[in-house]
Amino acid sequence: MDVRRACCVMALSLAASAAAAAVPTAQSLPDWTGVWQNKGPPTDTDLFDGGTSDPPGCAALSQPCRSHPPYRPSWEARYEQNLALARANILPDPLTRCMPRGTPGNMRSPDTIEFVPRPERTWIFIENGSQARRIYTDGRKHRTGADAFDNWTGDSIGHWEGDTLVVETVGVKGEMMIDRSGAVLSSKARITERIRRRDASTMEDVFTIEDPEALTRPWAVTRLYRKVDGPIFDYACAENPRNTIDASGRTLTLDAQGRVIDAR
Amino acid sequence: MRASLLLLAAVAVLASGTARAETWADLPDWSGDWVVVRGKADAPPPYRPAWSARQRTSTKPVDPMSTCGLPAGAPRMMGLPGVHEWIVRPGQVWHAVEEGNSVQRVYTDGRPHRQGDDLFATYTGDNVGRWEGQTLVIDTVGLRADTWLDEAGRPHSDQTHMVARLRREGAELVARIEIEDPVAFVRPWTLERRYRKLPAGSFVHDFACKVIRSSGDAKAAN
Repeated sequence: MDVRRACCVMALSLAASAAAAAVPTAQSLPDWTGVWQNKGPPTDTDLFDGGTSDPPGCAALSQPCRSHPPYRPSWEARYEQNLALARANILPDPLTRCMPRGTPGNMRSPDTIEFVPRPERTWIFIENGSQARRIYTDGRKHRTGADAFDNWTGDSIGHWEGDTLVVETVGVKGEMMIDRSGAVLSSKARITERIRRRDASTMEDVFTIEDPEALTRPWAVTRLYRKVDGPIFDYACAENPRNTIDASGRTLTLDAQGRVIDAR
Repeated sequence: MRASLLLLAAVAVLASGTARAETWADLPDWSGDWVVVRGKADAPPPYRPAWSARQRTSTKPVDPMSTCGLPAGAPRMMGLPGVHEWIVRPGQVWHAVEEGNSVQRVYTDGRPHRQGDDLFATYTGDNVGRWEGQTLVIDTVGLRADTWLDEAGRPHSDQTHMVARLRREGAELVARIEIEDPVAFVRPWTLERRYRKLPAGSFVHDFACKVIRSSGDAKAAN
């Protein structure tokens, strides 16, 4: 038996037994260089880039730009309230107050985005915000105990299946608005993403969103990103026009008549 | 004969200023989470007299970062509290800081600085880098004049030119920074930033500035 061959077979079986936990080598990482931009569906992005909706001609808030979330009845009722506000263009969006969008809503941000893989982590830098996602691929598990608090980007653990980065995110804050139609999820959401470069000019992120509190079944959403000429820029949210602030320091959202429309 | 021709060609390429594209094998391992090591205070910047007075009165007395929506910019971000990451890849290095989700992008692919209308001033500036062995040399121009140079709130002009040399020294990452500002300084100002690595398994927190600064917004977000 060829010694070199035996060695390789052993290496392969070792790799297989290490399965998903293996930390990739730098040379095995795919080429995701460059600057990318959300391609749609455009319930959010058409405000900024109407020419690139996917499918073409899909208008804001119309279906089936993306499928309707399979909400449980009480969540559906709340979503319908938010949808009505969004259609009237008066949905208070935390993003406009310089708050983070959080995962998975951050993946539908306007402006540009970078996907930065290294062996131990992959970063997703989102110009709008600015926001940063960190996906740990060094074999660690989800955080436990006192470290497992809910936050905007959640706790994202990833592994590579060939050129596809598979990401599992838990620990997201509940009630985060995940798009400008006013869809929200609970803090029990578990978000699985399969991120890959589909072709030379397209990145693809296939989401499966499970949420035992809010959804009746897993919700599948696909997002595409087209390659654009850079560069990606700094983001200075405070340069945007500012909203009124009340005596307690709370930022207010007003309708066209100047009435406060925030929830509380 | 052929070898010497190749050598000549290599010398010509180097002389023309075209950087050789680095590969993963050329790059140091700066992975992990780093925090600033607080050492002795920086020497005062060599301000021109008019700027010394300006520093005392401060043209921007309120910290721009307290608005929760203005980046620290360079070079202030080199000294921010919280976790720093130096994300090294062939062609580009990212310096990401937890505080304010600040990201400084350093292009090491041989591109020159932006020119003309493309070189408008930004918070983190136009950063062109090159590797000298295991040392990253970052050349920064195109900085906005309304950022602070450091946490002390020192001002600068829009003519600031910064060269930072970053390398591993033992367990620490060390940045030696030289800042030229012909408008504000009589000579270059040098400063140093040192970083120590947090234990393996540490992680970077989200930064939601509005929640820290205003409980009202935190409530409104939920």
